[in-house]
Amino acid sequence: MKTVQTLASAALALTFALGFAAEASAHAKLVKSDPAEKGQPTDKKNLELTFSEAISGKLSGAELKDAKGAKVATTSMVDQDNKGLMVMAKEPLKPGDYKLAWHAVASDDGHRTTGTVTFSVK
Amino acid sequence: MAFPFYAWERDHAAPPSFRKALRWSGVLTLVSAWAVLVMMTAGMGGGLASAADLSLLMAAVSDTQFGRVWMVRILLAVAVLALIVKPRPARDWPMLALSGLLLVSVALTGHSALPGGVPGLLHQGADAVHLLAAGWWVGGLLALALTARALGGEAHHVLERFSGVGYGAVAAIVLTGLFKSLLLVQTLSGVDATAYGLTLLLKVALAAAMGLLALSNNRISRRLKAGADQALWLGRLQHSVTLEFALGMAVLAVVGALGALSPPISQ
Repeated sequence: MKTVQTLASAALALTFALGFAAEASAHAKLVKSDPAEKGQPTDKKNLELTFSEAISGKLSGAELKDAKGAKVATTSMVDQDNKGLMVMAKEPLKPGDYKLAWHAVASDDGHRTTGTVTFSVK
Repeated sequence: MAFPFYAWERDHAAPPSFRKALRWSGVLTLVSAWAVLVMMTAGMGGGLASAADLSLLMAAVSDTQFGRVWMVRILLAVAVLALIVKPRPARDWPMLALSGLLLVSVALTGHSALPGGVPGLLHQGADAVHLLAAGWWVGGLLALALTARALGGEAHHVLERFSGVGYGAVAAIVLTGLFKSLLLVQTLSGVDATAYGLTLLLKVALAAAMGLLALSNNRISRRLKAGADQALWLGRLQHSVTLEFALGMAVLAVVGALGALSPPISQ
């Protein structure tokens, strides 16, 4: 019994010593975006989404639609140590409202997160 | 796979039911591993329809840690099946190693790496021990359930060896389980406040029920040792061990549900 008690105390002590650092979860959350929600992009061709953790380039992507709901041609790739998704429009975006629907797959456990960013170009 | 190493005499041959169980386990492992990969890929693609997309499957296997580990597991399962086709000795080192790898590799997926850094590595280590010990215990139960009636006079020897090893396995399971719970659920309020916490409680309750049955197995063992009616008590042993094994399967089902939920630490 004594050995079990000692082991149990050691396990508990170790756990508390390490603390419950609530670090990165396995879900890629959108940390910031350019353009910001309801904002305007700093670059009319390149949009940037930044996530809380590394995402898979092959499995993540985004779809851009204009105010009429028509798809705008884009390609996407990861950057910033795989924590960013850059969405590049084929041509500079014309003035109007846009909706960017993104999906990100975390590169460790494959969990998928989605979201949208609504913005306008003046 | 470990059962023949400690519970039986060296030259004890595995009965046909044991070998049959091994073959079925091998098939089930491969089929379920493949199913998990397909379903997880569908999750990455955003819907069931995407599961049919082969390029998505290849992307999942090459571009996520989960996919890479899981592909290795599928290959391990194929290796197991390739071996099982031919007759094997009861004490089967290669099969023991393959099964051990299959179990331990699960610790590389799921929530085991939370919260990251050194605690995450310790968590994965604890998870590996938890999985191996649980596999050891439940696997032994299956072996006992299949072979109990045929044991005859040897019965209490086998039982004593199993329970000796069983105490160690249970202690390892409880300690590592406690460590994981502290890491993932963190506070007592998280236990009944979240779906994850409640499911975890269910798992613990089922495992505790298994423990109680294990105690009653000890009682049966003592009766057999004292020379009581073999047919009667071996029958009781069979029932008790089979029920304990069934509870073990229920625990596994609940663990499957836990894998699909988010632990409080990742909220």
